[in-house]
Amino acid sequence: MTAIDVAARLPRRRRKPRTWSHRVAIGSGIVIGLIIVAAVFAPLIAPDNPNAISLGSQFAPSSAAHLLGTDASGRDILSRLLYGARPALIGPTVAVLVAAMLATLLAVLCAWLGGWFDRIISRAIDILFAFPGVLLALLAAAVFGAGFVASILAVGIAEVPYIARVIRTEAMRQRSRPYIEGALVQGFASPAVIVRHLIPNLMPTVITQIALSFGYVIMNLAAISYLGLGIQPPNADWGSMVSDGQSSIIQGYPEEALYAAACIVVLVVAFTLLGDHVARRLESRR
Amino acid sequence: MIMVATRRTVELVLTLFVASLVVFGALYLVPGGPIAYLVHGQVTTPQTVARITAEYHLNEAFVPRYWHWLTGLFQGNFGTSLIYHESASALIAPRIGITALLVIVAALETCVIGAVIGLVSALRGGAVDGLLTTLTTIGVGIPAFAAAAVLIEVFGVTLGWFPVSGAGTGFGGHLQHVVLPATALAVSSLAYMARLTRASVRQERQREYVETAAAGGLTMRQTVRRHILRNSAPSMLTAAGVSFVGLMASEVVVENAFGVNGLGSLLVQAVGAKDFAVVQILILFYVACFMVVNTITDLLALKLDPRLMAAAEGGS
Repeated sequence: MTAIDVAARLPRRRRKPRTWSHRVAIGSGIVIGLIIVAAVFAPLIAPDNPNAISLGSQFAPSSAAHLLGTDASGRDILSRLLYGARPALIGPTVAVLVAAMLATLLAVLCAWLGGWFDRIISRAIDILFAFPGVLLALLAAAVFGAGFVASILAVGIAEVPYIARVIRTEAMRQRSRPYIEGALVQGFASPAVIVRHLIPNLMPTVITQIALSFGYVIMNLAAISYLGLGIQPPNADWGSMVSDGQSSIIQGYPEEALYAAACIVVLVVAFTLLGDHVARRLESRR
Repeated sequence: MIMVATRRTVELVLTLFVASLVVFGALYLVPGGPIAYLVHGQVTTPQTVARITAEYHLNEAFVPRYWHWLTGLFQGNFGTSLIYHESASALIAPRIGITALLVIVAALETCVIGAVIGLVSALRGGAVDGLLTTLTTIGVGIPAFAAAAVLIEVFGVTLGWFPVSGAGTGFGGHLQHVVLPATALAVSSLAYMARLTRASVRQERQREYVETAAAGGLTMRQTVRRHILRNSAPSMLTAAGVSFVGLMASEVVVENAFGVNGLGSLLVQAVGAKDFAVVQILILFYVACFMVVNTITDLLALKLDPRLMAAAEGGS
């Protein structure tokens, strides 16, 4: 969050950088779009069944049949990468949405109720700051067992304090503005004012925070599945592919681990660049 | 200063207390209840149930049970591993050194390399800045385990410069084994550090005092050293603190990537085996570590900037 504060205070440069940032954002959008296409149409594009083990063709080099070669179990790496795009997109999306909804709910209640409720929630948020996503997910895995859903929820919840703190400040600011007072004086009930007026006015902030969180959430979830505590085999996932492929690196077959690692980095960087751009645009509009 | 330090310390202790409550309470969220969970795998004879009930004080109410656990921690009784049948402290003690070394080397790399890249980027500008900013933008998005895969392939296998697993013997051996893991760990946080340093130094450069200093005849080098760096120091320190939190979380992953037998590997094994006593104490340990580091960097930042200190002493 500090990064944003600092960036926001830098004097805004005018013409050229804006178009450059715009171009970068469009490029990132195209990359993300391609990955979404890969995820949606994986069954149509993939040359092979991602889980079809073929012990005869372990570590096959790149060929017409296996464009990116095969892994230690003879599975087609390209097909696994394409299918792996699914959890790589679905997991972070669900986690970020869960985080944003919880954070908005808490922030709005804090701004509306104020007093002891606000103090307790603010304190709880401070405490949650002390649990990074990976550690909270490890705790969740110890309690509920390894799994995709538990890891998504844990990483999502760990993201709540970062989002909630910013939204709470904005909700406080909006709460004190005349349009809220006006709606209340007209006799609208609090819930109606919150849903119809306050939350729509918070949406730019919420979207900014979602955009900024995405990269971190992708990395956290990938780390969890790398540790074998997220999505379970034989399902293809980029994080677990890096982990599977790592032992083959020493045997001289680095392909699986490196390709999967590259996919994660490309996805994270694309979302980060797009997120920065969205955040800057929404910030400058205000 | 003392007032602020005391208040931060009290807050730290309170936050740690609640964190311990969360870590302890998690056991009671388990579907099927704590006994079923703790018995897992073992044959459920009345004797084992009785033993576990006694060991975890499960027949007492929640609050006294928690109190037992917490006071036990202060007496160095961290509970017993269900898997290794050893006390958790006996498992932690031999592993803590390599983990500390790994984190310290990575933190040094982060602070030194990150700050240097950020400074060069902000002060040089132009193509150098463009290149470094592109690299750090990508760097921030490289998870530690992805960096680990690349480093193992390049420096471990292809070039053969560094060992890629284990912990080595002796301090020199440890250090040699720690180079690659620490670098994998530092990649993302040093990029983050570099970006924040760059932003902060660029911002300071545009302040009026820089112009005044130049008008007064100071060279750029002197202005940077005497004025810009001093004004950027608090935000660089905060960046280092934030990086450290990321470092501690990724450390768990990196130990597994390189087969370093430290606390992170122990934690992941314990999670996999549902060895709850070990999970509890290790998560609490990690959380405590970076809460302490955060408090220290906060206080140092205040110490470095009297204006921040005045604000902290005055308000809230």
